Parts: sequence; C-alpha cells; structure tokens
Amino acid sequence: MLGVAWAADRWRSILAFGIFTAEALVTVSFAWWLKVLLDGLAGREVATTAVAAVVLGGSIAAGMLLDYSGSRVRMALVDRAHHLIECRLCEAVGRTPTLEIHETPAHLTQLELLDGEGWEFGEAIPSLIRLTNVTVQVVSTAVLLASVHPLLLALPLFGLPLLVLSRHTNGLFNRGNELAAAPSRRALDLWDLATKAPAAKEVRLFRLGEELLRRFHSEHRTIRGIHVRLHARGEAIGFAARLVFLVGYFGSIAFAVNLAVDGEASVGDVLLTAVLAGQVLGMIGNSAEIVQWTLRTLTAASRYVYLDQVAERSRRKINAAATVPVRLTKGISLERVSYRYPLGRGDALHDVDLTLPAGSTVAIVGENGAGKTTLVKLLAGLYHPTSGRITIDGTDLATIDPERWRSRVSAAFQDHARWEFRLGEVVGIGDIASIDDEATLVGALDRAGAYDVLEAAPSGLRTQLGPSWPDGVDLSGGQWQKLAIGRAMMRTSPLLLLLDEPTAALDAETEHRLFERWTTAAARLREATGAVTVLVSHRFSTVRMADLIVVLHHGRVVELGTHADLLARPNGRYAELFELQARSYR
Amino acid sequence: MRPQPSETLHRGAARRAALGVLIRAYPIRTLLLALLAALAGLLPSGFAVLVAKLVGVLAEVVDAGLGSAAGERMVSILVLIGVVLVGLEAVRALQSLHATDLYRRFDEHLLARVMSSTMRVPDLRLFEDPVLAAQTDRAVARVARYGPGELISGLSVRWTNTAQGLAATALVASVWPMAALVLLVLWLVAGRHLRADIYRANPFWSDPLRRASYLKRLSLMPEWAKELRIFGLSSWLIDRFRAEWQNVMTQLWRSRQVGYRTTTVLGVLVLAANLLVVALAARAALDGDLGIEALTILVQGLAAMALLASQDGDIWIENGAIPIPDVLAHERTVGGIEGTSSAGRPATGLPSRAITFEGVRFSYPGRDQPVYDGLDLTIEAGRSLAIVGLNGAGKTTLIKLLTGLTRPQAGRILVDGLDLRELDLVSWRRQVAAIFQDFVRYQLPARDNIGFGGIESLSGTRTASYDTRRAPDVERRIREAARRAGADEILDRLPLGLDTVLSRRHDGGVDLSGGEWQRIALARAMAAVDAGARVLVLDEPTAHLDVRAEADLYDRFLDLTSGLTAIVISHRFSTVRRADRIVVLDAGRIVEDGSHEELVAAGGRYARLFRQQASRYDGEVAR
Repeated sequence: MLGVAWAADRWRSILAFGIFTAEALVTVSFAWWLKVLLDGLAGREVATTAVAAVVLGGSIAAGMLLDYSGSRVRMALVDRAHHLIECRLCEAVGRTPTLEIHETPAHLTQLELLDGEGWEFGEAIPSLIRLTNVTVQVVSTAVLLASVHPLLLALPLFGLPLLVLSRHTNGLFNRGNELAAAPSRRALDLWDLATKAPAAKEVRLFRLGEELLRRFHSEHRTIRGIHVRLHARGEAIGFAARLVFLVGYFGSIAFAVNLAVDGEASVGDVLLTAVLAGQVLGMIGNSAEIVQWTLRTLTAASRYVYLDQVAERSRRKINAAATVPVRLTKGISLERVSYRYPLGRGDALHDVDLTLPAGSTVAIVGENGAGKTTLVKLLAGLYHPTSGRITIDGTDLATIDPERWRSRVSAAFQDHARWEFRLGEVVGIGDIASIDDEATLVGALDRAGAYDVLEAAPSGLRTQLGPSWPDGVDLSGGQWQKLAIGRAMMRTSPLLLLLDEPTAALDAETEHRLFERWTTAAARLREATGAVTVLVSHRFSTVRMADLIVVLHHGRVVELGTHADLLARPNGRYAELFELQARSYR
Repeated sequence: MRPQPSETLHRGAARRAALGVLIRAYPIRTLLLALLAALAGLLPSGFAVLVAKLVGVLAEVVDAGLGSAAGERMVSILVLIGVVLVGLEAVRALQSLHATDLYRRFDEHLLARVMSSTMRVPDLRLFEDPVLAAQTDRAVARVARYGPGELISGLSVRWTNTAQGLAATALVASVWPMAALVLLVLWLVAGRHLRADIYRANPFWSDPLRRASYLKRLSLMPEWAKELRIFGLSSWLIDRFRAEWQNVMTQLWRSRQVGYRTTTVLGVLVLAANLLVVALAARAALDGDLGIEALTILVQGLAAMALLASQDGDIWIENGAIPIPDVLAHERTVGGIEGTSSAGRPATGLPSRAITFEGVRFSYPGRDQPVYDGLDLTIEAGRSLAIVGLNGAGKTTLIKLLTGLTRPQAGRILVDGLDLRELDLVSWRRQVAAIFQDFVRYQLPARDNIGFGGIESLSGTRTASYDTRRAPDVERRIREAARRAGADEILDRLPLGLDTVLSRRHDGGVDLSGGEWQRIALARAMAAVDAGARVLVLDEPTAHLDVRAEADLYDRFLDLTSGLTAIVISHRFSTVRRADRIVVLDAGRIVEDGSHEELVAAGGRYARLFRQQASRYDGEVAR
C-alpha cells in the first residue's frame, strides 16, 4: 500500500521528507537557542548572544518557508496518491469478471467505504513522514532535556497513556462511523429522492417534499447523536490522559526550578525545560493523531486488499491456454448447472441441463422469478455457476479468459445502463475497436431500429447525451433503450447474442419487426460463425419465431422444444401461458 | 479553465458568502466557535508571559532562597502555569467537540436547503431545461461532494491561529510597540500572499474534474457493472479517467507555479525584520536596557506571530465554501420561478365533468420537433380512456402535462372548465393517482412504498401529529390497496411485514423482482385512490409483469377503474381493449378515436395493428 503512494511520486516523497525533517529540527532547536541566548546574556558573552539572536531570528523566517513549501508538496502528494489509488480500485473492480462485488452486500459495503476513504490513502506517505519527524523531535528533545538533568527523561513517559489510549479513541471513531452507516445510507437515499431526476415526478405528484425533509432531519439527528456521544467519550479520555501528562510536565518545571535554586542549573535551563516540555505535549498529541491516521490508512488498505482478493479469487480457474473457437460447431451446453445468489435461500437455477445448438435462436420464457435473467447472466460469464459447468464447444467457460469470451458476446438488457457520453460513443462502446467508425455506428443504429434517435439528435453522432452536461440532450426512456440495443448490434460477428427483454418498452409490432430482422441476420451468421441468439421475452408473438423454446419454472427447465411441439403438448405450461396471452386477441 | 483573477476574486466572495450563511443559520453556535477559538489562542500567550515571569523571578529566588517573597511569587506563578495548561486542554477538548458537532449541523443545513429549494419547484424544469439542469446538478453534486461542514473545521483552526498570532503581537508590543507594528503588517501581507496561492492550488474548483469523477462512478457502481463487463470497457474507462484527471491537474499545477518571486521577497523581508528585532533586543539586553523577562516575552511573541501567516485550515475553509455560491444561485433561481408559492383554487371534487386539452403545444428544450402541436382531447369524467401511441414519444408527456409537471407552451388544459394554471397544484395532485412507466422503487419499508400514494393520511407515521389510534386503520387501508393491486401475496411473504425495507442494501431488507415492484407501484396508486384521488393514470402498467400477472390485471381492470376517470397508456392491446374509449396518437395528434369494436370495424391503423398481432396468436392449443 505504501508502495502505491511511493510510486505515485518518488521525488516529492523525498522532498517532503527533507522539508518536514528540517521543520522538526528548527522547532526543537528554537528552545535550545533561547537557552543559549539567556545563558549568553547571563555570562555577558557577546559572541554567543549574537549568534543565538541571529539563529532565533532566522528560525522564525525559516519556519514559515518550510511550513509553506511542506504543505504544498504534501498537497501534491496527496492528490496524486489519491488518484492512483482510485485507478487501482477501478482496476480491481474491473478485473472481477462477475458481478459478485456489486451483488454481495458485504463486498459492496467495502467498495463504498473505500471509495469514500480515498483521501486517507493519500495521507499514507505524509503520515509516515510525520511519524519520522515526531521521532526526530522526541529524540532531540530528549537529548536536550537530558542535558539539563537525566531525570527529565522521565517526562515523555507521562505521555504514554495518551499514546496508548489513542488506539482506543480511534476505535470509538470507527465505531461511530459503523453505527452511523445505516442512518447515513438512509439519509443519502432521501437526498437522492429529493434532488435527482428519477424520483422528481413522483415526489411532486405525491407531495412527498415535507415528509422527505422531515425524515432527512430525523436521520441526521440520529447520526449526530451517535457521533456526539462517542466523540465526547473520546475527548474525555483524551483529556484525562493529557492531565496525566501535565502532572509530569509540571513536575519537570518544578524540578528544574529546584535545580536552579540549588545552583545546579542556569535560568536558561529552566526556560529550556519549560518550552521544550510544552512541545512534548504537542509531539505526543501529533503522534497520537498520526497513529490514528495510520490506522485509518490501514483500514482503507485492508479494504483494498479485500476487494483485490475477491478479484483474484474470481479469476482463479482461468487457464491461459483455453481459447474461444472462431466458429461454434457444437454449441453451448449447460451441464447440471445450479446457481444460488449470495445470501439467497434457495437456488435461482437448479440442476439445469441444456444445450443451445450452434446457429440456433433460443427463446427463454417463464414467469417472474423463474430464473431467466440468471441464465442469461451465467451465459455471459457475469455469474459463475455454484455447481455444474457451462461449456463452449466442449471448453469449460470458467477456464476461458473472460475478456476473450466477451469479445465474442454481445448483449442488451431491459435494465440497460445510461452512459452519458456523445451519442456515437454511447453506441460505439458496444465494440470499442470500432467506436470511431461512422459506418459501423450507423449500421448498428439501423439494425437496432434506432436510426430515428440519431435523426432527432441536434449534432448527430457528436450530440452529448444527459441534460446535466454542457449542451447535453435528454432522451426518453424508449430512446435510451434503443441506443442500448444499438450497442448490442455493434459486434458484427458474435458467437452469442443475449437479448434480455430489451424491447419490453417498445410496442409489440416494433419488437416483432426487430426480431424478424435479427433472425434473418442470424441465419446469415449461422454459416459463418455458428452464432447462438438467446432471447428473453414475455411476448409469445416473438417467442414463437425461435428455433428452440426453453420454459423455465422455479429455476428448472420444465419444457423444451419448438413452438409447435410445445403447443401440441397436452396441459403444457407453455401452451397455457400462450393461451392466456392469445385470449386478449380473440 | 485557467484560473483568472476573477476566479480568485470569486473565491473570496464564496468564502464571505459561506461565512454569511453560517452566521445566519447558527449565530449563537458560531459565536461560541469564535469564543473557544479566542480562548484557545489567548491561553498560549498567557503561558508565554508566565514562563517569562518565572524566568525573571527565578534569578531573584536563586539569590534570596525559596522562603523569600520572591519564592512565594514564584510558587504562585507555577500554580498559574498549571491552571493555564489545564484550562488550555479543556478548551481544546470543548473546541473539538463543538466544531465537529457544528460541522455536521452545517452539512445537514445546506443539504436540506438544496433539497427544500429543489422540491419547491412544482414542475420538472430543474431537470429538463438544459441550463437549469446544469445549474441544479452543480449545486446538488457539489454540496454533496464537498461537505460544506469542512468550513467549520477550517474556521476553528484559522481563528485559533489568528487569535494566537494577535495575542503574540500584543506580547511583542508590550516590549517594543514599533517592532510589533512592523512585523504585524509584514506577517499579514505574507499570509495574504501565501493564502492566495492556496486558493489557486485547490484542486476542486474545476468543472472538468466532474467528468473525471463521472468516469470513476461508471467504473465502480453497480448500475453500469453488467455492460462494463460485457463490452470490456474497464480499461477504456480508466484510461479516460486518467486522461481527464491529468488534464485538469496539469493546468492546476501550472497555475500553482506563480508568485515565487513575491514569496522570496516576502521571505527575505520577514527574515530581515526578525533578525533585526532579535539582534537589537539582544544588544539592549546586553547593555542592560532590556530585562531578561521582557526579552523572553519578546522572542516567544515573535515566534508565535508567524501563526498570523499560517495556512492551516485554509484548504478546509476553501473546500467548505466551494458549494455555497452554487447553493445560493440555486435558491435564487428557484425563488425567481413563478408558481413556487402556489395558491390557486382548491381542486377538491374535480373533475366531475371532463378534462380537456385545448390546442396544446409542447416541445422539449433543445429539440426542434414539438411533441404536441395543437392537441385537442376531451377526457370524460368517470369513464376509462386508453391511449395508444404509435411513435414512442409523447405518451408520458401527456401525463406530465395533466399533472402540471410540465406546462404547455401554447393552448390550455381545463378541468371542468377551469384552467389548470388557476388551480392549486397540490390540491389538484391529490385528485390524481398516477403511476409512471419509470415508477420509483423507494428503498424504504413496504408501508411507505404503498402509503406514499396518500401521504396525508397513510404515511408520516413518525410525525408529531400522527395519531396512534388510527394505526390499525392505516394498516388496514394499506393492505386493502395492496389487495386491489394484486400485491397482497407479496406483502405476505415479507419477513417483517409492512415494515420490511424493500432493498437489500439495508439490514433485513428484501429485493423484489421487476414484476413485484410493478404491483407495489400499482398498490401505491390504489392508496392514492383510497385517499381521495378521482383520476387514475396508469402508464404501461404491465411492462414488467409476466403473462399470468398481466392476465390477472386485465381481469381486475374494471374493478380497479370503477367510479374513476381512468387513463391507461399502453401498447398492449389486451390492456387497451377493456377501456370504454381508445384514442390512437401519432406524431402528437389523435388519428383515431372510439371503442375497441368501433376502431376494429373502422379498419384503420388500430385495426391493422390489432389484426397483425392477433394473427401471431393463431394456432390450436392442445386441450
């Protein structure tokens, strides 16, 4: 972790180290020169007095410049280290082929916390440097104190409780954050409802404003209550520990005064003791704070390591030798595949044996919760089967590098994402390699029946989407959906095309026409790549076009066949559902 | 993007505005913050004076012995030192407690102000007008991202340092007033210069950074996770994120590299002035013109005066102040929008005759083609109307117009002959129960997800006005709304009943499927009907439902809409054909109008589409 921060900026790290060390030495030596000045005056030594005066005057100016440049270097370090860790985090998450980080609450919590703690990461190097400085300060102070009388070395011991207890107060701080996490999350939800576009219509229509605000304040009262309680306890503990130190401090001064009265120390020594001892408290306070920072950095680091391990675990089975065939000859098979969601009570898919023959169009039907989307995500490699395996022409999907597999997969979902880029990019990211290829973009839009979206866009492919960006244009839900389909049409020779209800928001006729075109296109691809098209739809008018229909029920395949086969089956589930829908057209 | 002098100036205004907002919101607490800072700044000077006195008296005590009068004075000085030190620690503890609490309060205050001003606008222009949307987004994003509370931490540190610096100036002045004056001016000028640099060095002012942080969100958040993986976008996004960040930072770092010469000149001046003062004082002391006590005070004072130029806490002040002008601008904009303080006629009991669209024209900002251009439509009260749209856009807009969420640019909408603009919007909205296609999935208990339909009578369970005697009644009404929407069996499965949070992000929460959510949303509309709404609007109510649930909904359609003015928007004929009347919209105009039978008989587009669909369901089903 320190490596990351170090890698962010070596030279600045070294520079910061030098500056902070110099600053520490200037601070400590100030008291020493003050003593020299007084002793010089007492002894009427002109040269000593003059040197001390010059050094004291110089130290003040030097302190200012060192403080200034130190804080600038530190700022630059923090910025860079923070950015670097953000990139690392994005990489770790991006490297995870499955959705497990996003769908396991425990992983997601770590991700959210780490994302918010990036700054603490940036402080890793600065706090290490400050730790060294405090050590320099403590050692040199000790030497100076010992020069007055060795017994004064006992002074730092009085600071030990403060240092030891700082771990405990940091624990209180962490506990506060954890206790406040739930109400904070609720407050954030309320904030989103009140200020973001998705809920704006309902908030106004249902007159939720006052209620949302009331709840927002109530959650914040809870949050404040938690923090105030724990913070007060922490401060009380800290105060008590400081009092312990003050006893030692006071003892030191009294001791030095006593030495002076006995003639064993000079007046300058007393001043040195008083000023130095005062600084010791600051140092101990600093080191307590540094310990807390370090602990927080470590917490952040452990979250990163945690997520990185999730990423590594999910790639464990990958075998560099496993390749994706250029064309499918047999097809895609599921062998006794089961899948259970993290924290799920039962299997979402159970013991599924199924072959999607090369070159076929397969429709998946079933009621809500039957496992259709789970099956689609398994095929895309977004989930790993809990048991069983999926093979691509006989090769276990789990062993294939997901990047290789996905370069031959395309997909469109009903709950598509909104990418607020330029229109061309929004579609083009479906195949990054062709993102600047206008002909491919227009072709994909056309295949998606989305050409009208392009026509309506004021600056064509260069139109910025999303109303909150400069010159950004907002689209209707249906238009965003069409662009999502366009994205899926970017790859021209996929082995697997997954269409998970992407047309549910469009009217039946449009859906039907789109599917007709896709199946024609698929027929042409059939020879070239043996591509499989998987389609999920509730509309039987579309479903019936498929070569193979899979009926899922409670996570199991209950029927399998062509439209004609399944209709002919007495008391069949497919036939029943078809009839339910057909009824409204009679 | 390059920081202009005006940008620096603007930031000064931001800091002043921030302080103004703080003082107006929390006058007493701010005063307390300042008092604690003053105390924390003054006590160290007290300590310095006492140490100097100790040194001064010590020489006498060494001569006269502990039992002398000087010895007694020394003991009382030692006691005072102890008191000052304990007092200082106590003040610091209180300061930390108070500043942290005020930090959170100020954060909350500003967030709530943005929420409140955003929600005061009764229509959607803050989200749909590009200029307003950008401004709103800025205020919303910035206030949430840069906790304005940092202002408090910064002020607490800065005020303490200033107080300590001024107290130190007083110490120096007590020995040598002229030196104090010269150095005070010098330190203040130096501080101002060094600080001006920090404002420029602040990495947050730049808007392009927002684009960078958007790219980071795309890389990390669940919403984009699926497609990010399918299309292999991770490294592409990270590269763009890096490039955006680099772009911003390069300009920033360049902008920081100014004023080195002034810094050097000021450094030399500070050095010279301090050298001179200490050297002259030392000579005076050697000559016996200046006592050892005074000299000690002077040197300690000189050292502490450097705090006048300290920039500790400045970055917090800066970060905390950043969003304030955006918040204030947002509030001014909202204040200038007409109709935010609506007081029209009450709409209770409407409509009893009809809702009429008269020559309504509407187009979205930034779009050439209007959604509606001269729409005429009369919706009779107490009957059901289905709207079939042929070309995507426009159906949802119709509901937005009807509920006053957007206003027509020409023409008018009449409710029983009264112009919608003259009606009290809140009161009118109580008459309308609408579920949009993109209904909200509240990450709140099931109770709220349904009860929000009739917030005045069914939710707000924790308000002071809430009457516990009504609780069983509310519970019954919510369950009844759920039953009418076919959502009762969903409620039965929830582990904590109505109090189950419908989100797995929360402890004990449960995730629902798309179809289940749709039924919960429908239950919300039923709750609104229960609370007195007379118009029911359903926008694609079956988009997420499976075949069986869809069929089930048609079967209860008549029950759902009985006695209400019902408007159903759908492209599913099964839903549409049950309505008393169907209108077909194309390119913002009504092209066909009649009952299902009439339209099929008329042989128009409706009939063609219907037959086309119907033909696809031919085929004998085995019995």
